[in-house]
Amino acid sequence: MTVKEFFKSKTLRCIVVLLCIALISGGLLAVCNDLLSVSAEERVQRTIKGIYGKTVGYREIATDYQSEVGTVDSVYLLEDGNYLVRATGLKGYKQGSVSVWCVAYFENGSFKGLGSVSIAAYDKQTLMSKWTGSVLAGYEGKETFDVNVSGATYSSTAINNALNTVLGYVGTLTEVQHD
Amino acid sequence: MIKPQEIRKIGVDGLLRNNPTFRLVLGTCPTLALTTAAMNGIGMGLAVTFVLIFSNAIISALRKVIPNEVRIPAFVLIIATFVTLLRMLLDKFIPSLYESMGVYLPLIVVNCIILGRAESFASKNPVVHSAFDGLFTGLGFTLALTLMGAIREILGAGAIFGVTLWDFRIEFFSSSAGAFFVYGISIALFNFVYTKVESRMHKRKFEKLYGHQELTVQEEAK
Repeated sequence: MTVKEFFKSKTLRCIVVLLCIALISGGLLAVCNDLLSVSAEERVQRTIKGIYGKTVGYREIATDYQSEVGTVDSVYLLEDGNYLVRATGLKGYKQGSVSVWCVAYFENGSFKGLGSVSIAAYDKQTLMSKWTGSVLAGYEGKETFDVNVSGATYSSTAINNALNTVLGYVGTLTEVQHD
Repeated sequence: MIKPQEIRKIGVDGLLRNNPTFRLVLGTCPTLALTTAAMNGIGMGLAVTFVLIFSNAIISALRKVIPNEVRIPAFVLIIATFVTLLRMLLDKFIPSLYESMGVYLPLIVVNCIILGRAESFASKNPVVHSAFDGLFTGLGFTLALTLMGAIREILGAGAIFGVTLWDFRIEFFSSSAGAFFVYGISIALFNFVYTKVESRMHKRKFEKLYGHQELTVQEEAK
């Protein structure tokens, strides 16, 4: 095929049409992404609203806390003195992980327990639909976490690891407060 | 412009005659996976309707421009654009629905109902007709999913649209096996009723035209 033939061929037309569609689609999505993207701050506010039913002021606290079985991803000190924590627990199904949001409740500076647990994200887990609202409510106010959801033992382990890591982190907070 | 009779025909086709779930058995994956609750069914159905309307309209508008050889990749590109746009809109404005639909939302790109309507209708018909086809096919899918979701939610969770009705529940209906069971029964019932209604309508039409009942083969032979 000569260059002249190529420019007259259907192949070029196919390429041009597909390129045009891709370019227009890409442009449209770029504009929409700019207008509709959800910022990290908005996601935190959504989580807070899901827990308290209203937006509450917060301050992010830097942390690099990690245990052998999990890490604390982010910590927010809320206006009412409680801490909103996102942690990831390891050793889930197929060595995957589960990230959870939870609130560390404090009263007059002393730790009262964890609660308002919700699933933030997960990796390689297949039975996360088992963690309905009533199951998650079972994590409320415990001192150590060994909740085992029948049929999803590995995912349970990952969630327990995440929450026990949060407990470890809260321990460092209360130490600081005692000091 | 589109005539009212044409809208009626497209409507009956999308909702009943060619109902994607109960008659054509298309889009089975989200049908089985997302019908644990009626609300999920409505959400998924409306999401597919949104994509169907816009992708059908755009594909129809470009039907004379897109070369036949690359029509499928071109359709997929257009459908993927609307699915991505839908994901952005849901994540921004209805995050609870966005989370409940999980992986099935991006999978709308490869939903055979959408690709099927693009290939069989939108690529051969004018824009307005195609948009109406998308609307009614999507509504047919929504109705089917909502019906199945309601049955499974009532029997499997003792609730409807999240409102608890009673404590009695049969876990089987919340499971995957329950989804297949309800799907099978729904298809059978829908087709039974549809065939009955259609044959009755045919009889009435015949009587109106010829003034007597349609004869059977034996009666005609006599």
